[in-house]
Amino acid sequence: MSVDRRDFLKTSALAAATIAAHRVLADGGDARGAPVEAVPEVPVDGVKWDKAPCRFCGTGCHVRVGVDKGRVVAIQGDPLADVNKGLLCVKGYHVGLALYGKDRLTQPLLRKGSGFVPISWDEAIDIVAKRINADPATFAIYGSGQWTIPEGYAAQKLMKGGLGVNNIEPNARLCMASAVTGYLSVYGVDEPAGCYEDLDVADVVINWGNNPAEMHPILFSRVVDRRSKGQKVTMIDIGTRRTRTTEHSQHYLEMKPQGDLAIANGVMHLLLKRGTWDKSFVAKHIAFRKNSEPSTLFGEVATFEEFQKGLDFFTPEKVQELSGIAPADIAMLADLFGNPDIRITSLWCMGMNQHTRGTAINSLVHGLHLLSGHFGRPGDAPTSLTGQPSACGTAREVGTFGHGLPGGLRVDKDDAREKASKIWNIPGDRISPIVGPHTVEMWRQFCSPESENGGKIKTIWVQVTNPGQTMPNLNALFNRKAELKDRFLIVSDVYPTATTALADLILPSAMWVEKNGMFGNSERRTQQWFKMVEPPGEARDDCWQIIAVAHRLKELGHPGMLDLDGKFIFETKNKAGADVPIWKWESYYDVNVDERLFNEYRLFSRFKHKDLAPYEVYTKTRGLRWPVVERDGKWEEVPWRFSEFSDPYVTKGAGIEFYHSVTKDGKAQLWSHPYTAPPEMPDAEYPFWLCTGRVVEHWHSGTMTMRIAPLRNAMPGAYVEMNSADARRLGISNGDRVEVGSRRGTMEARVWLEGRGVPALGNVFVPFFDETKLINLVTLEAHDPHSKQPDYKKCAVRITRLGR
Amino acid sequence: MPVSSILLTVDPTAEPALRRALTADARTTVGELIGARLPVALETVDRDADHAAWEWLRSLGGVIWIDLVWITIDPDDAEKYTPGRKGRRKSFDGAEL
Repeated sequence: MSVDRRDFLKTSALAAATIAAHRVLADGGDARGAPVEAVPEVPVDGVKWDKAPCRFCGTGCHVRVGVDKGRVVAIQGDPLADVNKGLLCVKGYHVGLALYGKDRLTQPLLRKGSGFVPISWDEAIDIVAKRINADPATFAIYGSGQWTIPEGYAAQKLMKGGLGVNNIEPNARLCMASAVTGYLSVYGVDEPAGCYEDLDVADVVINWGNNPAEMHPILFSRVVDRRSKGQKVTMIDIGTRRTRTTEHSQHYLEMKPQGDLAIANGVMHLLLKRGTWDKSFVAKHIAFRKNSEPSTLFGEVATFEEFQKGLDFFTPEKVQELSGIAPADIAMLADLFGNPDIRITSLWCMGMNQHTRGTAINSLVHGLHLLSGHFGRPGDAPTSLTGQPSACGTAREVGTFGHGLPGGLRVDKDDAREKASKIWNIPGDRISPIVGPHTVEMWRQFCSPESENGGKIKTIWVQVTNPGQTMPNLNALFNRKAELKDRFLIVSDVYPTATTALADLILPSAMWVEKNGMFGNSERRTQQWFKMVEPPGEARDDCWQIIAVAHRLKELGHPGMLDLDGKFIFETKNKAGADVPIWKWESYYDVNVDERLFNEYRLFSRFKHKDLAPYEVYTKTRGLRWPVVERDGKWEEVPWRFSEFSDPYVTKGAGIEFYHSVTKDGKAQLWSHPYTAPPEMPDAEYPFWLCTGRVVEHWHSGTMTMRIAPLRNAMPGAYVEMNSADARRLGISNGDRVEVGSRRGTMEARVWLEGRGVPALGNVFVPFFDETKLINLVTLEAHDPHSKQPDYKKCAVRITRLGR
Repeated sequence: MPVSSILLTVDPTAEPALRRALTADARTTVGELIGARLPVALETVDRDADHAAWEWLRSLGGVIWIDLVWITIDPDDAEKYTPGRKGRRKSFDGAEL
């Protein structure tokens, strides 16, 4: 690069940062009112630019993608995007490099003995289709919140509308299922009422077992930015480990694992005792709920008196005993929630979701906001964040779960199956009313012999996820597959992974801007992008793979691949009305398959007021938050649900209305939930709590980010964080090798003391991104009874020093 | 040779000392303080050095937060910095996965 060229780039860099600074200063944290178009694109010659959401977390930042000579060559934060306002985190600005690891999978590979042999796509599709056709009931698809919306919808339709079996799950079961059951049990419908703008106006932001400074840095920076403008924002970090979020928080409340249940109850106890709860809000908008026997997601009706009685137990002293939080800190939280003049936003992610009482703690934190009236105004919101780019869009909204149908419908509801059958134009009895197995059970069935009550699933097709690294208790729920010769694992992926290592058939996939796509982020925002570059070798779209298998099944005579008119269930016509054989790769991009699938899928979105606009509308935006409602010929998003000032579905004059209320009276449910101890706790043999999680440099199992050299070099391997006092007691120094062992397995890594995070005494933390140090050999598959989400945040382990 | 457009959120009272530290380093070009935001252009020799510089910026007194506006590198460098991952497994044809 010449000196002149470098100087030009540096000048442009400074100019772009200066314009961005003026913008964030001018708009007060709001996306409006600044000359965003003035932010120059990265000045690289001959580059064509287009928009796309980032491939990594659930924040949903938009990037400008620069393409030259068929390759992604530059990435820029998209200044037109409300989510990130032109800024990106360290992963986001490297996202383009995720495409170019040298070991991309480029051809279908079939296992032969201990190795693999290349095969053609025709052979591969034939193998998959024949395997399914031989026994559809034992076939399952395991996808993820990284599926695009059309991909997940195609898989959903193949399984439920075609094969008539409900064996489909996303890895989102491991990620945000407890948030879903929390929303359902409280509001009767899934997904947050609030949005990211809450962070621009909240006076208090409470992070419940959450580390957004590393996991959602762009959202976190919105709050930091406000402080830099002199605004007062109180940040409270409730957790078991000091993190980068703690560094920015005025209050760090270090709790015992599972202590969150006691804390939420304890604050509500004080609100009632002091009389500082919002009586008017509760009278208008709240019904009471308690657990039923047997326990169900929706429980049974309770009275205020029963609710009050349930909270009597949670005195500040009792809460301190259970959670380790001092009474003064519980009182501080009660002071805040009892103050109607401030606005409070609660944020959480895996800490509350990966929890054996995940549904309960989710509904308790919602309850805290509802009891105190901190709900329904900008800045007053209980909001869950998601970890994957389309956990909301594809998993939750398309409903790619064993119980789900698109649009929030359930397979075990007669009217829901009828609605779906009508849209899909299939016989009314094709969709099975039997709920399919949840993720842990699906993999247990796949990895267990019939003699252990397993074997109900014999073939799994994995797309866009890596269960060989991310399932809990890997020895039981993944590795045993190797012993079971009648099990067949198909894996569609972009790189070799811990999962492909046990695959019988590997299908090379296109990723991100190598294909068309749509994602749905944490705040109900549906986003769209177009294919920009070709995938390498013979890699092909996951959606095409599903449609090609469906068509092969049709050729094999499977009746489910035809609709009531005898047409292929994925029949697609071009604009002239002619059939396009999209199951043939050479024809797949003759039409926009995403558009065809999305416009069918959006018909489902009306049933639960999750209205989506036509596909075309999303091509012109940086995403829209549903419900997207047509008014005067314009499609308008809804930032805040259930609040009349924002949501057109609220009855005029109601102010706030929970229009999918469980009690069908427009009210949300305020739950009583007792404290219960975790199923596994430290003891003499396994004296430490283990918590697992992520780091800022790597995304999930590291399949992509470990192939990006700067990220890998910055964080090259997993480590064990310990409290220094615990380490001293065990004679462990910084950098020592230790074994982390549980009743289920062991792993080895080096200890990092006083490093990125500092766990509380008696706790250790290990990130899960490193496939050479699999912490999920150690973790526990115990899960929440309603969400079925496992707890990766607490199990009992021992630490054994191995040496330097 | 990456060039990054960076926006630092800083403690304004610490800005003079921070500016001195930044201007003393040949890798950075510093703009004018806008509110509590300090625009910086960062040039490094490669992407590893770029990440090291990010950590260096983070460690400077007065830096509260770092946002990226954009980054660019020579297109030819992209391949150099996106290697395959060395793992522990053997797969097809004995190749390491």
